[in-house]
Amino acid sequence: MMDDDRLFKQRWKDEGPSLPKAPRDLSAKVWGRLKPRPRLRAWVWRPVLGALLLSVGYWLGQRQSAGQSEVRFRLSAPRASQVALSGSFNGWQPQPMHREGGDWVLDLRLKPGRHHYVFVLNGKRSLPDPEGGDAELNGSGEAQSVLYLPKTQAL
Amino acid sequence: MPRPLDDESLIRAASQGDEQAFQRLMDHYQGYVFGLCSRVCRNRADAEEAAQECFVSFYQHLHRWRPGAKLSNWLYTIALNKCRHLLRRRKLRRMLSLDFSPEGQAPIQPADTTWSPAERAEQSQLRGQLALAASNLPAVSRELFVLRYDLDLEMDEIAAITGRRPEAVRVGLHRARTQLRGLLKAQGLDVTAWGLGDREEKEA
Repeated sequence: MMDDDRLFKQRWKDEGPSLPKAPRDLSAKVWGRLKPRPRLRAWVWRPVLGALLLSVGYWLGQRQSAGQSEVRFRLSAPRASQVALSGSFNGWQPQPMHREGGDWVLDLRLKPGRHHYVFVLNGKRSLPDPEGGDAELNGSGEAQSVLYLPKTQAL
Repeated sequence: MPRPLDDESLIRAASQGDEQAFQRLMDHYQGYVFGLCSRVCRNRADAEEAAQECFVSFYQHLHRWRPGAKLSNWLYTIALNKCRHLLRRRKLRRMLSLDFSPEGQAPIQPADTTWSPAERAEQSQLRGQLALAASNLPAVSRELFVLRYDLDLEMDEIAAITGRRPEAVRVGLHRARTQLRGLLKAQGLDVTAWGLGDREEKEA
């Protein structure tokens, strides 16, 4: 059997057909399958995405603050040791004011609409704004100043 | 015969991302791999597909290379598996299209489309007849035949590549030779003139 195999091998080598040649672009096609498409590198898209997100955040911030108004709250209380502002715009959480001469002041940016507020002297006594215009009584019968801010045109 | 020189260092370089090293390996082995695929698949498009898949798979599994192993045999194993997969797919497609003609009993016809027209013209009449007969062998015989007579591999190498026992490879090759002679006779070729007819008749 092996003799026949050897003889056949020799015959096939001498007279048999050669193997078909590989196409020239075979390796190029293999590379094409190994590297389908160049991907956008992380060092390119990450800064671009970061800048885009920052721009969107800035734009949203601008848009939100566009309709707000700057309001200065002022109370003349030279003998008070501590004054805070408490109102519907800060959830009635007393917000410390700072001294400016004999006055206590606080600057805030507020949305348009009706706001209620009082000053809290020395952490105890609530006082409506003596220079404020309107005042209303709350459910407990305590007076609260009313601040009305009209809508301003967005930027 | 594939040359195992430097394969190891090229594979090591390729597995570390050296594309030139992988290109050199492809340049060296693509002829053998495509030859094997074309003989087994008998169809140029399928052979190209199988050869491409073979190299892609080879690249993706470079890290599995065991130093000391023969690269050509590893590639032939991958290529053969890809060809078998393609043939199975083709068979399934044929079954789905309700064509149940068994491949082994296919009529003698120019089934092999792996040669380009220029290559076909270069083949002598005898070579053309032999190629035609070889391409009409059943799939298992084609595999063994190309590994033994075209790629010049030893029996134990063929056994390892095809996943058969060496004895089964010997028997399979004997069957393949017998089938080839039968096909050559059916093609009207004088097998005796090729120096094999008497021996075969005696064995029979």
